[in-house]
Amino acid sequence: MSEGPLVDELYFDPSEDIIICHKVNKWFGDFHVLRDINLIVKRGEVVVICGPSGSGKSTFIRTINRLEEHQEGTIIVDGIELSHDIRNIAKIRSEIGMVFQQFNLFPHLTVMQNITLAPMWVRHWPREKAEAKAMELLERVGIPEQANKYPGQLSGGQQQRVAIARALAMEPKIMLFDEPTSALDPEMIKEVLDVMLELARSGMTMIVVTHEMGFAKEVADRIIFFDEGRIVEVGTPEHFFTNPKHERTKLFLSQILH
Amino acid sequence: MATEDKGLHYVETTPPPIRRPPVIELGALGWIKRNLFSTWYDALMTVISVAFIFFAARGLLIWVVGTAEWSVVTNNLRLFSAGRYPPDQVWRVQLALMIVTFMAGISWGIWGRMVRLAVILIVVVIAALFIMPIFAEMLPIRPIYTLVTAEGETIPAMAFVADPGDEITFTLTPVTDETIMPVGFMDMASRIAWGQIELERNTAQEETETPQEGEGEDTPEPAAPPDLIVHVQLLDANLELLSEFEAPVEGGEYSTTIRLPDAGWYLIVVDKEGTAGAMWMAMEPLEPLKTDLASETAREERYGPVPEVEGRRTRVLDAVYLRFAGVRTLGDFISLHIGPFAEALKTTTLILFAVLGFGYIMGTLGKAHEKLTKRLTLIGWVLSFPLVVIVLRGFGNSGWLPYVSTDLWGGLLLTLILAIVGIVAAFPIGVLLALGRRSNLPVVKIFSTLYIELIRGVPLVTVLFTAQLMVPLLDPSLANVDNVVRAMVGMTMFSAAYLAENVRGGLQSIPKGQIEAAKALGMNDVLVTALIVLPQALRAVIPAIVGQFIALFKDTSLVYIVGLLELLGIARTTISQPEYVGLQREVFVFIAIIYFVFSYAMSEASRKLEESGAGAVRRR
Repeated sequence: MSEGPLVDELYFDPSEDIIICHKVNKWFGDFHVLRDINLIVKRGEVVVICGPSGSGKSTFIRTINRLEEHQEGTIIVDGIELSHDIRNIAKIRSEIGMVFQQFNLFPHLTVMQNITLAPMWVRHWPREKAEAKAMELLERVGIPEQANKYPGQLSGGQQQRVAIARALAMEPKIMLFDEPTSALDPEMIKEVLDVMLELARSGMTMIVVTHEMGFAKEVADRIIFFDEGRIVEVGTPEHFFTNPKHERTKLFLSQILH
Repeated sequence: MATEDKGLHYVETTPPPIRRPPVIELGALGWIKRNLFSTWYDALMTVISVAFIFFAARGLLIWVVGTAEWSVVTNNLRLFSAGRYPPDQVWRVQLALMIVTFMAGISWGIWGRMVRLAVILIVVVIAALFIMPIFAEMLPIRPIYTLVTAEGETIPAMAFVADPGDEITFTLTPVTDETIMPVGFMDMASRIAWGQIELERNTAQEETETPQEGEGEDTPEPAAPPDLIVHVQLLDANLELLSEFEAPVEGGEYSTTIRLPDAGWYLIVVDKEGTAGAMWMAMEPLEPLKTDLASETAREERYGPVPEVEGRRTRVLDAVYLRFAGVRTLGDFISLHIGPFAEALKTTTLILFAVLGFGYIMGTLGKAHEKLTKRLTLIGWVLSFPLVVIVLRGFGNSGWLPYVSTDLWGGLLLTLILAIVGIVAAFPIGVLLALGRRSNLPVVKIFSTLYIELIRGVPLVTVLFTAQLMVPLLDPSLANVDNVVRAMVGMTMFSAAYLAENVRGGLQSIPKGQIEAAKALGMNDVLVTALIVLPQALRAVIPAIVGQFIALFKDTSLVYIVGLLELLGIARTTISQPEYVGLQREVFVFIAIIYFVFSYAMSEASRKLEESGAGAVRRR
């Protein structure tokens, strides 16, 4: 690996590394949620983040598109540093798609309108182009026939697939998933995971917060384990599941893998 | 089938069919039992409520049909609708109304559905407008009465018009102890005199029932025997005697019919002799003449000026001189009030319905180019407002649309203009204030909060007075601003503060996730607010917002305090006219109905709006 620019003591390669986090710290009031998080994600990499609840994993991925502000440290996304500059934030957010645990579809708009809204108003695409893209994405997530329904008329799994299509419509370089299957009925988890699997295989850079260990095992390039606001363990799925080093990781795995 | 097979693990081998839910037939009696008399306290409540409704409705109906004097409404419709707007320019108010109705028709055609109820309602109204006057014509008209008493003042010469071949029948009936008040039209003097007679009759009755103790000491003198003789002359317009007759009170009922030879005015001159007695004189068929400007002008053109006899006042037998007396029947009610009311409204209402229908057809046809029509309709609405103002206000001394000062606008016209301007202007201001109050910018936030709390802390009347009296103190140039405009500004400022609080409630109801999702898609704050937050927030508070609109509509009645004659102001002016003294109830009931119709329409529209589009399915 060639040596790239330097952030403090951190070397990275802008052509390969798309997300760089260096010594990221964040507090909610007095509570120290993120403690010196260092992470570099390469283009096309799929990173799965797991850990007990309250460990700061959701907060961490929300700092990447600045839904949460970090107070110390550096985050660089696709060569742009996250700062208070509003234009930077808008630009970075349009490069990052995000999928939420509660779907957060816009209930007053149809599925089609949910997907075309941002491309038309942020990217200024003409309606025809936006709708063509939306239909293509609905086909890809397998629910083209639901285009003219309202979110309230869909099942949870369908809603989450619409949410993924909505994020993809902006043609993002990175996709963030914040526990995308946690609010779903067991029967619907698979249809969402299948879409994510397909997405991962198409070469999308993804950071996924999830407890779906099967999914992690299958597609993750790296698994990161969070505990008490810091990264406790990083490794390939093989390393993570077969040979975890840290006691906390072992405990966690013993709890969720019977 | 062996029952032992149906154990704990029994499952039907053939799945039960999917069926429709069972229909439970209740029947009318069943329904009544289930809904009105299911328990003893239900039954009690039902009985009490029905009794209450019955007595209230009965009292109201008797008043509405039997005694209320609705001519005050019919005769003043122009005042109620446009206030002191110059009568020869009232067509401009109608034109303005037609513009708005046309736009409403188009909007209905393009956005709305054919609502069966609305169509039925329109048809019923049209039918009623046509049938009622015809029906009223067919019903017999009550006679005109005048009471001739020996002691009473001289009766004025009574003028009426007739066409060739008309006949008039005079019937004189002596008043005895058994005579009751006749039902028909009569002048005020006759009423008062009759009241006197009834009073005397009652006191006399009381005295005979409770004889005083010192009997014989002051026995009232026996009343003089009635010796009244009524002498009636019928004169034509040139004061030439046409016919005369005498009716003595001892002669009992006297009746005569006189044929009137020419078209024109006639005078009835009544003289009397004697010291005691009274007679009712009925004249029929004779209708009280209408007193509106148009009828009076037409009469003068056709029959010439009213003739006058020397040495005596002359009164025209018109609707001002005569009032209906006695309890009316339903027929009287229709021929007296419903018929003329329908007649007065007929033309305008028909034209408006025609315009509405025309607009509806245009809108329906426009559906072929839906996008274009919708855009044009919106532009039309935006343009219609200045157009209406131009039509109503006019400019300069141009012969076509002479300037009409807003001081002359009044009645329902002013009420609606104040309300519409208030609603249209207060809504965006209210939304901005609500957003301002939640803003991160301290100055905006403090200003919005201060404004809202300040305005909400004072009564509307003070805001109106401030706009009227104190604004000129701030800057002398503001003293020239129109009174109506100042009232509009006051109402708008007031409503905006309340609307802002309603909208803020809606903003708070939007989950944070919605805003995060929109931001994560790269939308800036303006887009998030305009596309995601506001549409949902406003929909959530439609009932509260419409409630505020209704309140604003009714609050326009407060501007009469600052000297504007909107509906309530006109009502107060009307009842202060001498000929309508004592008719407050009729006038206030009438304007209450108008306020109710508009308020109810608004609340109904809001319910439709809530149910429309994504509203029905938006949330899980």
